[in-house]
Amino acid sequence: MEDRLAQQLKKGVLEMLVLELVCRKATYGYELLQRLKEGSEGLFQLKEGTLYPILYRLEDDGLIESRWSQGEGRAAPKKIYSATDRGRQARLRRQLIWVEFKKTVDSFYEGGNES
Amino acid sequence: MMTEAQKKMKRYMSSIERKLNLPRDVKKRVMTDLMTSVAARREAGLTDEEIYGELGSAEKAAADLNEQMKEFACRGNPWRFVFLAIALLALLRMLCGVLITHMLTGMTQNEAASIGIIGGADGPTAVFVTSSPGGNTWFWLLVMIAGIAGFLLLRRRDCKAAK
Repeated sequence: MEDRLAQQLKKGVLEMLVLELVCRKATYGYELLQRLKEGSEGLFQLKEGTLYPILYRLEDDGLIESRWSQGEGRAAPKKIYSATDRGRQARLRRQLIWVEFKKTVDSFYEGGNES
Repeated sequence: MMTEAQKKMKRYMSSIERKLNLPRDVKKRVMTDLMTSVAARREAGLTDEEIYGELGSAEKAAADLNEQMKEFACRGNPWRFVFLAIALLALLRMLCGVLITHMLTGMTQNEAASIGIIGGADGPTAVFVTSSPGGNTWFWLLVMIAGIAGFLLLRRRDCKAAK
């Protein structure tokens, strides 16, 4: 039961976090996986297969875009994702939704909504 | 010149690509990201063996991607093949029409059509009758176009619905 709840919550939150990370810095898939893992102390330990559909949905919605970047020196060329203007606007809207959501859920747990 | 390790990685990647059950453009999207992932892991100091370990065997990696990328698989509507069959039958019917005319009379269709001049010997009508391929052919041509249009429409609509 808890597993299913955690999975459902994760699914919704991940799209938000991936957009957040891409907005902060243009990046590629592997780096996103690393940053998610490190930033969540292992809670968001994803595989490529989980990340790609999130990236493609964001890209198809026009919130992020991809391009090839020639690596410096001996680095291999990489497919880099960066945020579009629409993506940066969406990031703020999503942040507001999350803050509102979190406040509401917390208020239940803290007993603020007892009648 | 490719080293043995590079060849092995190339075989691994093409093996994953072959096992992906996705439309070609989505496959390309996945493979370019996967190539970037491999390059990034190498730059982070991982050996190829460690990379294989993280990504799993080609079978496992492809199965995982297929499972997660279901919404992008956009299998076309099976009814589209009915439309394709209609288009093919119409094409066949048109070809048969030309062939039968040719075999029975020993004339090409244009020659056969020009018999129409006798019926329509007055100027403009004669030109029209001679140059048009005949109402029957137009009908089958329309059926063929409708069949192809239906085939393409059904294929596209399903892709959109899957997103």
